[in-house]
Amino acid sequence: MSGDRHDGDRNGNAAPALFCQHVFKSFGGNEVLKDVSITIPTGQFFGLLGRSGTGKSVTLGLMIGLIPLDSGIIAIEGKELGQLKHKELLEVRKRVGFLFQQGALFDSLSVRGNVAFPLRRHTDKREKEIRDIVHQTLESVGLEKDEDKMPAALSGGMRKRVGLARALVLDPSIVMADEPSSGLDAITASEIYDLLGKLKERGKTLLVVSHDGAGVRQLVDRMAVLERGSIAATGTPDELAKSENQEVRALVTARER
Amino acid sequence: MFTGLLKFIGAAGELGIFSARATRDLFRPPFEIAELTRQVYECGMKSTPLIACSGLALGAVMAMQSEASMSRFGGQALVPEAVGIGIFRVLGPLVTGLLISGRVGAGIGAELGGMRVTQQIDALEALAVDSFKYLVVTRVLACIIALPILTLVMDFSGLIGGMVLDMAVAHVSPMLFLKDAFQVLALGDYLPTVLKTTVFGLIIGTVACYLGYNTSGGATGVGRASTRSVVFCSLLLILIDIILVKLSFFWSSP
Repeated sequence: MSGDRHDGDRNGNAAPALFCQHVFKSFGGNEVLKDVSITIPTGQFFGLLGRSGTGKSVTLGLMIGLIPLDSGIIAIEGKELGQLKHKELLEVRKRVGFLFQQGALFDSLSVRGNVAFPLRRHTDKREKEIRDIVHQTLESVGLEKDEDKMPAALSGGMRKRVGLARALVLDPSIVMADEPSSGLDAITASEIYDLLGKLKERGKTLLVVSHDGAGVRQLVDRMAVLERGSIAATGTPDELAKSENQEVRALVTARER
Repeated sequence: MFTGLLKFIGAAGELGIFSARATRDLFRPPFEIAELTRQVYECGMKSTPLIACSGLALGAVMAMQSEASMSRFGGQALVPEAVGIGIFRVLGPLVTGLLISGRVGAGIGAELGGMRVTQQIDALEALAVDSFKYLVVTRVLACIIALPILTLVMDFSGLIGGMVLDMAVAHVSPMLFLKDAFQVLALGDYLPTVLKTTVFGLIIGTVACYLGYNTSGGATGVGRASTRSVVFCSLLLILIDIILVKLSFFWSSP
């Protein structure tokens, strides 16, 4: 592993893609995260598993700076989020694609408008070029025929795929996905996992948060299990499937219902 | 009761900080011109029919009431003056503000509240967009720009409403009505009152955005944000109007 430094080490190893050390977070006296530490090297697919209410989504929110930290260090590609001004944080976020649990598509924009939004905001590309990129990106998630639809007209699985297209359109180096299979049938969930799996060929780093152990196991290189706000176990999917901790074993092999 | 008072003071302080941030960011780039234009259209252009129709009705009612009251003293000839002064100095700005509180304030509260609970605001931030500048500053500025223009629409449509009524009831010629109405109106009568609506715009924009942007509690929270936007905007507008009217007397004679 890249060690315990967020900005690389003396041996010249690069900074990890995602780094989180001794992170604590409470909401109104309720301690949600207690001393959470995770290091994800560049190019690794990492799964964070846990039962509902264990702080998985909070961890993801902290990782991208949407939720402020109480204490600890979180860094993206060596840049410590706590040290950044809001403008600098926005720059770092351009390197990260975030897939929200319900897609979080902009209601006022069509599918095309949603996927084109980051390109219009952050690039100088011409409208025709943007249209071509959007078409290609939507084609990669199988929604090229739905470009003109509004989010309200989409199913849950389609919304997630549009959300994924929007997260990937700027070609980020890191992708974070919050419960990518929740609320979906087994076939649609498997399609979403396949789409995420293809990111491996493109050299992306992936952090996926889920309670669908069996699905995530097929996708990731390493995983951690969050239990009552702390990391209960870390390892490869096979290692965790053989864990002595019964709850860890159950989570890693559990299929979403 | 003490806890309630503390909560109120806390919320007022937060609103003050929110307003100060919105005002500061008005002058800081990037200026979201495309979104601002869209918001001016949403707040301003789309409110024009409501304001124009209300103005016509308001002017007609004022003319009717003035006609009835003044006929007791044989002062029907003063109806154009009464309508002009009443609408330009008093009713036009306040009624415009209250109508926009209802239409735009509720809309902003519900829209931003909905975006908050469906994580669309988080999505903006995750897409490296400053959600405060993109959503709040543009809407506040749109309200500041739209209110004075809508007030003028209200003022002139009110005058037309009064004129039509006076023509129908007292058979006064339109030219005579307008001449009489404008004869008593000096620049100092309508310039300060139109300009004060920029303050109304600031209040409607910041209060509605504050309540919408900080919504929590799902669909119930969205409904609450929308209702509170209307209530607080209307209440603040009426209170601020008292202060601004007093201040405007320094500019023009009462």
